[in-house]
Amino acid sequence: MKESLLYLVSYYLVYLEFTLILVLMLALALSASLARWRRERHEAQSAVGREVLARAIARSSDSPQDVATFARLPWTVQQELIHEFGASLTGSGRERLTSLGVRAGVARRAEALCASPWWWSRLAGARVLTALDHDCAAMRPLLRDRSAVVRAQAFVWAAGRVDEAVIDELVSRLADPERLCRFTVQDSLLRLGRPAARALQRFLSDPDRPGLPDALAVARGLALPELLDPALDLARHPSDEVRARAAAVLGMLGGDRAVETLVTQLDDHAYPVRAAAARALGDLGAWMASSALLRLLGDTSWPVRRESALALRRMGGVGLLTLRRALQAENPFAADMARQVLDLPEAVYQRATA
Amino acid sequence: MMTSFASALAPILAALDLSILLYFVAINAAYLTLVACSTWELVIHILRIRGESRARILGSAVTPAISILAPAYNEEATIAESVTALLALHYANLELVVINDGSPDRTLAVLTQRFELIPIHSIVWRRIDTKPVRGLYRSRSHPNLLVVDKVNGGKADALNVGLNLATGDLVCVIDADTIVDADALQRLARPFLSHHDVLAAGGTIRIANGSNISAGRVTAARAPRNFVAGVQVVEYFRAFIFGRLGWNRLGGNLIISGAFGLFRRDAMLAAGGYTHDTVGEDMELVLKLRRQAYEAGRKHRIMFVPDAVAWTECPESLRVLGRQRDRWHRGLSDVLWRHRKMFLNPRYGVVGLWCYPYFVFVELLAPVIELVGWLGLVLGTAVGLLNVSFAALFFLLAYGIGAVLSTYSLLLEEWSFNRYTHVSDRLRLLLYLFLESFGYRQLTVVWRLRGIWKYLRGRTDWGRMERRGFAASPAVPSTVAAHAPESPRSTAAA
Repeated sequence: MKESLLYLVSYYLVYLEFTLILVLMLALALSASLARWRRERHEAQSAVGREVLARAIARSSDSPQDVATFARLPWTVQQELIHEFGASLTGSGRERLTSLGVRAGVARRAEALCASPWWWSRLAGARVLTALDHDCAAMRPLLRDRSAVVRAQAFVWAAGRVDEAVIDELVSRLADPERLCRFTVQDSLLRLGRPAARALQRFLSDPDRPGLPDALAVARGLALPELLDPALDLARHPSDEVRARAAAVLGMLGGDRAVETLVTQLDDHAYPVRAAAARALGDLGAWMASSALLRLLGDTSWPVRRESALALRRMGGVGLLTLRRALQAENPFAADMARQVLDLPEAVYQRATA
Repeated sequence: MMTSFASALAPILAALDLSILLYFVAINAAYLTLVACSTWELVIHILRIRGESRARILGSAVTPAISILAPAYNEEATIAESVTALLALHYANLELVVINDGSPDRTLAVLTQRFELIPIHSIVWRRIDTKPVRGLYRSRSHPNLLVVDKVNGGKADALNVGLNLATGDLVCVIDADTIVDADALQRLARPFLSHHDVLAAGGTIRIANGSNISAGRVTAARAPRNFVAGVQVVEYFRAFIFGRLGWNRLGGNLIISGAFGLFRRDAMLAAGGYTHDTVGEDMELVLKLRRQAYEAGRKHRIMFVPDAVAWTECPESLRVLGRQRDRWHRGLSDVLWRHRKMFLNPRYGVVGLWCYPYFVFVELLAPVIELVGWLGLVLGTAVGLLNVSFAALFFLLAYGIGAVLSTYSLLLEEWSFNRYTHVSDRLRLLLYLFLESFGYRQLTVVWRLRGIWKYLRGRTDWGRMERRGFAASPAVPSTVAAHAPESPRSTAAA
């Protein structure tokens, strides 16, 4: 009884398998033919679309005929061309692309997608609107979308919007729980530049906020004087990472107060902070800190010794003199690091300190 | 006499039958689970990357720096082209560290001449103990190229030297003869930008044999005409599309191919880099990373990125392929034995409870079980206890499942990345797929059994590899000892 049941099941399974193989092969053949047909059709349509877009960008206004031709193209081709052109256009070229996209109904369709319950549709819509650089109300809710990938795309779009509400939202998202969103926000704020300074200053003024290290990374990239005071305050923050990043910001901004704080940080108990402070002093060319850096050449931590030596070399005459003096230091680690840095060829040294 | 022997053997064979049947059901249930997971993962992945603009990653000031580590041993014929192609990868913040692992040929001389190398002192923090470094060189023409000349110590040692010298946040490990797609690094870096707890990410390895290659890039993927290479294309499809992608969803990826993987440098250094005395150093590193993360109670991920593609040359002769498979299986045995503490241990989460046992029962012991099955078949035939019709049915069933999975992997490739666009290529791959169960599959069982046997006898050599080279040159009987192209290692449903 058992055996016959086993036979029966096996027979059916073998039938099922071979039917499946046939179905899969058929699907493979169909899929290959369909892909080929679509590729050929797609190539012809893309060529037409490219021509229309190139004409529209070259002229100062869109001809109704071009708009109509572009509007007749399939949505996938429109999307692809918008992405292709959007990635390489700026200024008036981008404005003409946006105008054509709006008049051909591409923007309207993308806006409709942004309201979809499906994340992949919202993502597709957001990507088209980003490529078009189109300012529209449909994108703003996506800055708080529940899907991280959609949210991140909205942050990319926001990099082109000099709008206080959007910038505030962007800055607040430096504390986003998703790494992807934090990365995109940092990048967008760096692209925005000065308009982001005030919101960032407010964010950095609250020492209890999560996301301070990422905010300080942005502050370092922006290097705006408005950010000096919060950076000075954060140089005394309880978190090692925040103090180290604050040191890097001070190294970009400079000034007496920054140097004073950085020299204090050279005695920090955490080695990443000491290393960051040494590097920052090197960035500033603060030769008056050379004796403190000479002391750090004998530090117990290798990164601190390395950064101190590189900082001294960057300081020019005084630093080089200090490094040469360190060659005779009693501490063999200090002498060794000084020798290594003095021996670095210029190109390597430039790269090491980049 | 014969009858009494047969009657004594009957209960043993019946028990064997049942065990093998149960094993067969379990193994195929595991495959089907992986298939379902990989399909789901692939669909989500395609939806996420459609219309994606990677220019952002290229041009961002906050993109992590990547150091590529490329160990080279006796690569004088191809090293200049390989390094030029690597330097031309589309990634902004890139450093290339080529480690000449004591090659007796002119590898270093070729590099010196082609890239205008000058000797330098460098500020090195030797956090991992390695064989001595003989010299460090920077390129005048490419400041982001660092060449290390060291005493021969094997691939793991060469990579550890590179790890000591690398300065990037992420470290990309490749073989010097791997051909990497121009945008593959951008794609591979994606998981590190998306999740804070990613320790490593691996890309897809494809077979370059038969494809059109120009200036160090694969310009058109073609199916190899050579049967041995062609079957491996199908194997690699299965291993990467099902194995790696399926485990991605289940959270249990254990292998990042040594031919193309991206790691967090701090995690690698904390793990002490690669282990020297194993031939499965790539899998060993991933297991070590995972084990340490579990023991420290840290959340972590090992990701597989299907659209980050690197190409490698696979063996075209059975002799060389046999040596490769034997080495992979020795590596697998060794790594699983080293980390046996994880086996069915709930402390190691999905890895301890699912992935590790899968690798033991499906990847490691499958050839042993298959051998036992064949022995049972021979014994049953000899004593007249074999139910021929059921045995044939069982063979058809097993063959059918393998063929279904392989055809499905081809279909997924067609729907997703669609690299093989010629009808003749698709037909050839289908042919390889249907023929692999007749002879080739049985040979892989023999090679893998030989690997287990050698492991038990304590053999740790890499074996001799022969490559034809991508420039269609005659076979190069070179590259001895420690360096060989890698590896789908897990060949699910093979």
